[in-house]
Amino acid sequence: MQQVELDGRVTALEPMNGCGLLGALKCVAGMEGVLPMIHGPVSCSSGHRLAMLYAGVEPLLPTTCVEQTQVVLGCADRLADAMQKAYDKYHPEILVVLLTCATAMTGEDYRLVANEYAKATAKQALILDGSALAGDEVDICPRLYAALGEALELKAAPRDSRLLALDGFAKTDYGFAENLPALKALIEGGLEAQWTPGLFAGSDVFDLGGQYRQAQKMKVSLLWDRGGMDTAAPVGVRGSYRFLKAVARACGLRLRPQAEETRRAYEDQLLSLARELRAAALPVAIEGAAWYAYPLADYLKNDLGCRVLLSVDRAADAIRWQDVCDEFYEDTGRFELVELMRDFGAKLVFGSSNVQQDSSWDYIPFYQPVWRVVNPMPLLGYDAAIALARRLLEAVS
Amino acid sequence: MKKQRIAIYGKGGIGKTTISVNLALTLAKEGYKVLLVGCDPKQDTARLLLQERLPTIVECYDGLQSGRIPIERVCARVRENITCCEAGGPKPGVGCAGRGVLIALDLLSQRGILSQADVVLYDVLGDVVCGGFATPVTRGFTDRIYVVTSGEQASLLAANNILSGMNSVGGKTGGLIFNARGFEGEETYVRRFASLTGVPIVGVMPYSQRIKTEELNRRAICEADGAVLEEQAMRALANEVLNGTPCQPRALTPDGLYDMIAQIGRERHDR
Repeated sequence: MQQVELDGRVTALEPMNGCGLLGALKCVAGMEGVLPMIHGPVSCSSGHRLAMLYAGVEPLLPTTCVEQTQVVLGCADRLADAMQKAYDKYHPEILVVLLTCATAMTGEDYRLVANEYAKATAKQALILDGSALAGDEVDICPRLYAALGEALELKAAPRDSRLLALDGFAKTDYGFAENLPALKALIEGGLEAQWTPGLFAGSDVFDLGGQYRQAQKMKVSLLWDRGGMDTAAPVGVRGSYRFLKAVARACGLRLRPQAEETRRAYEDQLLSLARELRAAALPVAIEGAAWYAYPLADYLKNDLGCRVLLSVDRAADAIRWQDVCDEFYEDTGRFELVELMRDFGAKLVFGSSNVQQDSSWDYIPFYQPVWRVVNPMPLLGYDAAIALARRLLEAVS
Repeated sequence: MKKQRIAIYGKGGIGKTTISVNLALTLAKEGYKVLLVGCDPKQDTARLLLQERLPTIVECYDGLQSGRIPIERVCARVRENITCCEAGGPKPGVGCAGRGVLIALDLLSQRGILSQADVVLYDVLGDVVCGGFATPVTRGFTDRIYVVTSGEQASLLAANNILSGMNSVGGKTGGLIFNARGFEGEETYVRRFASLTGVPIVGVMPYSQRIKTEELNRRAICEADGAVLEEQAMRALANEVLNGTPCQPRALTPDGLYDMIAQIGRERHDR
């Protein structure tokens, strides 16, 4: 029998992605009534708590503080006790318990604990493997969404519903506060639809008669299926219109009569800016989540003539990277990415604070974490497309 | 005499605890200070030496670390010259037993317990299923390992697996301890295995109904009256433990082992 050789090499020393705990917190920090809890050693909570600040919410992240002996002897009792205490103190509608590497590796079955919690409180507890052993921060989001959908008994909306929720667009997305009104205006201005917040963006899901449950849902951002550029974020004029058409198709909605005219008007505005930028061939680097980063790269390269280096959290196999950028990396971040950006000769960088190098290039915040005080720049929709082109011209001059 | 630190491995139920305990008794009678460390979450190493249950290191870990529980609580003087302790571990199906072995041995080392004995014997769980059970070797707490085996196929498979694993973590193998089950032709299998792997048989325990009877009454054979053959075997093994040197094992491939067994079967048939 042939031996299977395991590849012991690392693909990146400084990956962009964190573990499932980070992905899960990116989802639930924007959900009122949902309390995340860490089942693991103390630093898994203390180290990740700050991710909840991305949503501007109190970083409440209780933990079972598992220690050495509990890992050896088993810690289901400890979890049960902590869950009851968390309920007594915070009364969450749903408690999301995230296992860590220490508690996931022992393979204990915590379903019984969750069942007992539900009996005692009449509320639900979800138990998910948030450890890096089960995948990274990108992998956990669809798993969590599916688990929440089951727990919340979400059903498909009526086909004729004009309510639209973009699930996956989260309060923890960088620039959420700036991008939200732009996205809402694009949707309601371009489609015969009414916007309602998605599951991770402040929905009214716990109101059984509320809008969210009646809305059509489209998966974007944290839940994006990476199925193609059509459903990528609405960045740029062409990209924004492309997104509108994709949403219309997917949700059976109609474009408003003036949608096409609006697009043309913005394209006319962009024309002269684009001409100037194409002459400059500005080298730009992007570090970001795929849903945002792919269309930004597409806009910069194909509409504004930039040379583009792109590093995303997870590649979209359905998109040929050569169509949207000149250099492509996956799950590469921090200083490893900074060196690649330097070698590329970037003059302007979109990304997290990890790649903000004031002496090397101009910087536009684009991806969490952003810890240095910088004014966010909206990037979605038509107005943002024009503003971005003007901003790039500043970088050129 | 140089201090000896010996780990006993082998298939579950093959007789590791029997051999470890009786070896400890034999060495103790000869005047050596022995530390017997149970590294099995079943916590059954001390059962032939104590009637009451010995608290384990893992379950007392927090108290031991803080000083609230004295080390003597878990390291019991069970006989003249013999101290025994149990690493402990979880109930089946929960927790991480391998990690339990690791933290227990680390604690014993930090407290200087391992260096106090002339001979340390580690009685290790049968199936070395994760890195924790190799701790006696990987942490440098062992001078040599011995693998207990019978002539049964499953036992030889386990022994071969252990030899292969120990090679890759830098363990030094002293030899095989043949603990006979007493079926026809059994010795041939073990001797052929020893020859092919380059691992000598350093101890032979003949099949003994008496051992089983005594152990059912929670008595070690070396403390029973008139167990002459068994005591002789243990004295020979004790001599090897005190003076043995490592060998260079050549573990077989699984197919190689099956071929060996099949070949012996054919030879016996032809006879």
